[in-house]
Amino acid sequence: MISKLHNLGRSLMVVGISLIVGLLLVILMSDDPGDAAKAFFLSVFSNRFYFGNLLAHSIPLMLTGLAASVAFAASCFNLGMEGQVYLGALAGTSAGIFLSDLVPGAIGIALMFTVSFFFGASLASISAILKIRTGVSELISSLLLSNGIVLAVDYFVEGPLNDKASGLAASISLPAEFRFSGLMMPSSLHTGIFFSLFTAFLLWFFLFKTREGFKIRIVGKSRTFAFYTGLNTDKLLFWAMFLSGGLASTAGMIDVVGIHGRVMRGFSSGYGWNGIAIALIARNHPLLIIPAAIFFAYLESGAQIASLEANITPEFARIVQAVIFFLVTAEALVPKHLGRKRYA
Amino acid sequence: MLEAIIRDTIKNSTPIVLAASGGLLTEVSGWLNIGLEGAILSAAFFAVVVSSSTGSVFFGTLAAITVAMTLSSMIFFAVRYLKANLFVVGIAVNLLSVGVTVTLTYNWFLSKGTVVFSGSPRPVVLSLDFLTGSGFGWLNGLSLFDLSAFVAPLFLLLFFKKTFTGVKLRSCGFDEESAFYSGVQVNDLRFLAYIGSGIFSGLAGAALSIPMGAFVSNMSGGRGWLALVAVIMGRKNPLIVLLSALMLGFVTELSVFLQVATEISPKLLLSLPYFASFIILAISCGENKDKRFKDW
Repeated sequence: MISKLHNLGRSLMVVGISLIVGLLLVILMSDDPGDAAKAFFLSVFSNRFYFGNLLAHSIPLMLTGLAASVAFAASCFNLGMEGQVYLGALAGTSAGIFLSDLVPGAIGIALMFTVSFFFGASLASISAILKIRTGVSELISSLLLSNGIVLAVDYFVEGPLNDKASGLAASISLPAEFRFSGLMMPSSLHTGIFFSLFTAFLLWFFLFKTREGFKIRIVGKSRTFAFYTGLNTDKLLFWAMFLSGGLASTAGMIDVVGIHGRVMRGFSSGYGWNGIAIALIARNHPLLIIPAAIFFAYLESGAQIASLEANITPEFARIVQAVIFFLVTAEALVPKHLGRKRYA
Repeated sequence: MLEAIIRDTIKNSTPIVLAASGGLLTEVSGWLNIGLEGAILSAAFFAVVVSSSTGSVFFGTLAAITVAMTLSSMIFFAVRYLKANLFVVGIAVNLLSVGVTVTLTYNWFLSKGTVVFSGSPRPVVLSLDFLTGSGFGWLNGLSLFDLSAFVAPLFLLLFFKKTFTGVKLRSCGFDEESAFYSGVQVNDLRFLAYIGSGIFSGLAGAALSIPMGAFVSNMSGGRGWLALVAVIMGRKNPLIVLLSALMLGFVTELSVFLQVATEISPKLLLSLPYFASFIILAISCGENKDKRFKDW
């Protein structure tokens, strides 16, 4: 049995290794390694603008991380989060455009989030139903569906919903009262961060303090055990995927309401994949998702700034991310009995 | 016209068939390789880079195979020795390939989109005069890659049914514990399967980029995932895998054809292969229907 402390230590070690790999890559790729490394690691903290953007970036990441952790808690793989992010953003924004001038701001925002939640949730539950009824792996089905949906959303953003006047590959903007207000002004940090933090707390309460959450965790630990204790495993799997899809799609919506004000082509810089990595680092614990998401936002913002200030392509963050994926589930990375006396 | 459609369908399905053969090997061994997409992408990149710098298709293909083999054995070692989760490590390979190819194209060629290697060699294509008009005219214009794609599943069929190693490999996927106690070296065989999967996905990558003489960022474009769909649909039978991969190749070809022929938005058509394969996957369930836990 692997202890909690062991897991936490492993997560920290993976984070450390990934930072070292990032440093090595920066040194290898840049003409001026010192400046580039400084840009990657420290520039984020140098002014309010960068730091605010880092926090703003962590807002959707927290939500996708939570989404992935619900699915993982029931030992499902929701690989379709990228598609759910886009579909949620598109559905919520369309609802917002439709509702503008009809309802006051706060109600409008609440309705938009609800619509987007249910769209993403139903997308994920298609995969869940297939898994329950026919045994098709939800891993592949959700991924295929999501890849298709991303392209279809691109079509809507460039076609029927396009804002022709702006000339961008973006939809029509939401009215100003349907937007979150900004914090830390020059940066794009917005009040949506409280929504994310509150959701993390809510999910922690659901998974660890309620009966239904406990059932979901049992299904995740062992489906055979859950089945023979009389739990309805199919139903629990379905609801875990449903919740996961819904949370992932609110991540798209929160970016639209908070930062862009409209759906843009490619606005999600891999929120789905990052969410999976975050959930794995945080060992599916909703409260640990918060620091893990901030760490990921730090990596991505560091890469962005390094690409601005030093001549490095921001995609090298993908390599760092891949290193995390490689090592994060590796149980044998730290010997099991490290720091404990052996009595054998 | 019909000949052109058949030929293009085959050319489109070549990478899918090859990658699906690689995936089938790992599926039969019991540890499905999720990293096919990444292996194809990296292989495609190194194939075209090496073949244009050495001027030889052979060395390009060799480089592609080496890279893909490295990636798939990385998956194997991470799962075997670090006890990592198979699927998560597969995703890691996919992300790694995206990162490495984009970073290297930027660093080496100062571009992020398409890199065209104008002087790169192209593979020899079949052109036999007596085939034209005999009903097999579509064979002309196919390269060695396309032909190897058809040999691969047949080779696997023989391998699974007629060799000791093949039967042992199947026993690993069937029940690893029983196989282990009957004296089958489960992990060695799985390593073999992953090496084989690397060879096939390397060929798939080479078949993708070398005939084009160019590298496009993210050029694998979901073919690895389509190959996985073919593997799942095939239920461990190489011939059914071949047929499913051909069908998925035809759907891909259809989406390309409709882009040229009709006014429908290209974005919607690009999503057609994904939705089509999703629907095919949903319909072609069945194997697990009667189990208590459907996906086990």
